Amino acid sequence: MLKSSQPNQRVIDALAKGRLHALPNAPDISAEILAECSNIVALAGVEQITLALNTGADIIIAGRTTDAAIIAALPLMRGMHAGAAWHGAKIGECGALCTTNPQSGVIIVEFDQDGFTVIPMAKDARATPHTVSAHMLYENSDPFILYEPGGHLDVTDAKYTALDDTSVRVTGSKWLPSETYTVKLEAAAPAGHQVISLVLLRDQRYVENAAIWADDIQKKCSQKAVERLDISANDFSLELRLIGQNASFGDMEPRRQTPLEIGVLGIVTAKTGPLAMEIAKILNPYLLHHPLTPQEEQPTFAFPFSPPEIDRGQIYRFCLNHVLALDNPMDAFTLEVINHG
Amino acid sequence: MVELGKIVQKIRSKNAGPFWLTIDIFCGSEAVFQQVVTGLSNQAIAAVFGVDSTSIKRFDIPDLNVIKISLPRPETQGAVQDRDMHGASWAALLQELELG
Repeated sequence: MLKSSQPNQRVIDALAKGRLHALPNAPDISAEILAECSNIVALAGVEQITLALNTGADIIIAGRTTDAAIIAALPLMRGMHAGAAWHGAKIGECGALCTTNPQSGVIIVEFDQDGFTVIPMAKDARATPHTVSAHMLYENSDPFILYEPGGHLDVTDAKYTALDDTSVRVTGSKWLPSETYTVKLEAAAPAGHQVISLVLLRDQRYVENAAIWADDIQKKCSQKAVERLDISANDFSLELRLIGQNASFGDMEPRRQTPLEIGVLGIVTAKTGPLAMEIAKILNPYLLHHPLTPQEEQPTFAFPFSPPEIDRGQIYRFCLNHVLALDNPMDAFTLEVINHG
Repeated sequence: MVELGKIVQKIRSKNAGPFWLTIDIFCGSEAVFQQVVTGLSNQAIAAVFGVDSTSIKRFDIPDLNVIKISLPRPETQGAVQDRDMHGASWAALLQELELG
């Protein structure tokens, strides 16, 4: 068993010793924030996986690793080309996503001393130089460079050649070891509790004026929560998101048209679960009956569920986008061998 | 003026980790690739996403006829204000951008 969880104090000590380095667009961190984290993991690379494989275990259960490391470890152990091992591993991480039929599941990647070859297993899937090279784009901010523990992969000069109609050979990938051995850290900290409610507007007058209606509810309900529960406006947030109007982008939405109906998603976030639920219950009569103007018959809107409050429980925020420098790759990981019968 | 999404093959967006967003524009042909490379400025992209144009990483990849754009996520994935956990919808804003 390869364990990747990090004690908070280890990371706090690393921060104090200057062994934590921010990656681009990393959030600000402090010892206090690190102490608040409920879960910190380090991403293992091939070094830790190699040690796990060398135990001779029949089954290895690994905690967090990089996507490519679990595939790159074996070809690297067998002395295959390092650039090819890492590049082939990155291409293979999502199986047939690097082929013409992304849903077809499984591929074979053959590694050797100079490069690697991608062979799809499904009859109707083809790997082409385009589909294989395009996979470097996937979920990767830089399509040519991939940072991994102990170095980085550079595929700028990689050559992709079709061997036949379905398989592709890749050569020219480079692995460049780093001077310092680092592993990436990921962490989450509690960010409050959340309760949501959903109501549907279908009446055209309300659909057309949904933003005004929602803003009015947001203000009145927030004020009532502060008064009735004797809390500060900073103890919670209340948002009404208009699904059908601008739920994807909010104020950044450049287009505007009146839809047939709007789903209004009420989102209450507060420090504790009971407080979030209490505010959501104060929101309930507004979502059910709030009129656009005071002088009109009380309207009623459609709840798809009753009770309308949906408890999302504790929510979390990501708080690390950093690397941790290690003298020895196992300094942040533990390996445990369990013998059965 | 023409909408970007009407001339290219596909535009997709996805997280590249919780702090970055990456958008791939598959042009489909060399001619369209050249048209997009010259017609789509980093300033226009920055304006669409409300970020500083200097924070945009851009890769024009002629071998694939692909333009890749990576930018810091306006909200971290999963933050209370985040509206799109996987960054799936962001491509739509570029699809609808008028190309100069």
